[in-house]
Amino acid sequence: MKRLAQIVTVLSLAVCLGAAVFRFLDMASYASYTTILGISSVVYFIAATSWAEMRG
Amino acid sequence: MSSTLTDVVSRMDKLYEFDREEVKAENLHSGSKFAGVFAGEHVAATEFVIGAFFVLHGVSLVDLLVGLAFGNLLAVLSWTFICAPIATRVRLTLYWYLRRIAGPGLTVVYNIANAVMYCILAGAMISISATAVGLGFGIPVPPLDAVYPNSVGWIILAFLIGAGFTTLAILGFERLSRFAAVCSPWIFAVFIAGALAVLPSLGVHRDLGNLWEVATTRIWNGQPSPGQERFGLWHILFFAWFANLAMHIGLSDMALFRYAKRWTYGLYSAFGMYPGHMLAWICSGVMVAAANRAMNPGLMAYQAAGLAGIGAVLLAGWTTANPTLYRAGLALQIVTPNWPRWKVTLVAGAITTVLACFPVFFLKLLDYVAIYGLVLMPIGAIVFAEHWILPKLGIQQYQAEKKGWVFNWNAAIVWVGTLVICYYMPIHLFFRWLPGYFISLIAYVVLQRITDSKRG
Repeated sequence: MKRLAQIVTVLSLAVCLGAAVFRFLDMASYASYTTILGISSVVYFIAATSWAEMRG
Repeated sequence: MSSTLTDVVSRMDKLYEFDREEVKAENLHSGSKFAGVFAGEHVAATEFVIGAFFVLHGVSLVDLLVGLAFGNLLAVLSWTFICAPIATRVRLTLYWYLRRIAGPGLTVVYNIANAVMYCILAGAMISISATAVGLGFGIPVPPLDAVYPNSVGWIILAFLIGAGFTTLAILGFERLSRFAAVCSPWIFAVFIAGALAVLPSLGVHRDLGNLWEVATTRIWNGQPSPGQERFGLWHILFFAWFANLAMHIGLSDMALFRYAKRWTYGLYSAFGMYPGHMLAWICSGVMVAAANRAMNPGLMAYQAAGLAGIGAVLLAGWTTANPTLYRAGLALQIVTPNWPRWKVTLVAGAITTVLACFPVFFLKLLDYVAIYGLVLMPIGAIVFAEHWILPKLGIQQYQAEKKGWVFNWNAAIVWVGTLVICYYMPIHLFFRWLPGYFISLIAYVVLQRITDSKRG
């Protein structure tokens, strides 16, 4: 579980940045970009908080 | 009067009792821990404002890059060569070391000054968060020259956010500190994502071929906004250097570095300075340029990153106001006998909330950061002189401790005198602390020499 939380934390941050790259390249609308950013942020907090709890 | 002061000093000693002992070898921390602490602490709500203000002050791109690179380097070197060596030699917090040097009475005064500074800083964080929440309710952000709140809505908003932050700080500081560590990487990612996403709106091509041209003509174009003074290289360099003056030159971070294995661990501060005080400031500059230079952190973050941007401003404000409120409460606890921690935090939160209603503290944040560092800087100079210079000149060290002084009047005179001289210096506020530092050093050595030879 700890490993999973770790991987999801890093991946969700990568998706946040990836969404911005897509927006920069004009391959995503503002609405799509902010929606993906919002969802990946929520996923990040769930995973990162779990990871932090598991680390104690 | 004397018994009151003795009571206060005794309460303060009890409060800091837990860190009275020197740190033992088995409790020292690894370098990666220091890198993590610095990386987490220096991506705060204020970063949204500071980088944006550089744009409004008409900084040119070259001045910005060179100023931030060298200013942050000087900050890292200050931690490495000034703060960390003393901390790793004495293994005490500034509080306990200053007590030996300045006497318990002056240490109380220092603590209260620190508490007031912390409350103002936390108030600025709340104001910045208010710009994010206010966006959803259509509450206008006060103009750049505002001192007082410009609407009842702003007051209500600042009050509610301040009350919320204070309540959460009362409910659990430790848990929130752990949550803050979780937030930092995400807030930093939102800075980068926001800046990247708004680049096309400034005219940057997909191949980044005209990035430099856009940066020099549409972002850091050397043109200040109306009513703003123009900043050059030296302003930026000095700002980056003194942004954490109280921590490195002022030696507050002795509390952190007393756990370092070696003084060279000061170099780990670069993990906070370059991402937080260079990259994040550059990102917020890009975002404010895309928001037509509107000094509204909430609006610029929303335009750049949607609701995640709003969340980043709010969380950055919350996670940095929280430890600031805690520290202010800790410092105030000395004058509130037998009060439980929640009550002291409530008082610190109430003061902070009132201050947050006044937009001047976040709209004049750059000046406030300069004043904050300046006010506490002479104490750093006094401790540095006592630690390194007095023994070299054969002057007795720790006279306050050895002779049982409640107040080291030499230190008090140097502290107040330096601030008075700095106030009248005919140079820009940002530059005053440096001559002030040397004035403090020299004046303290001279006064201690006189006292030593008189009483010796």
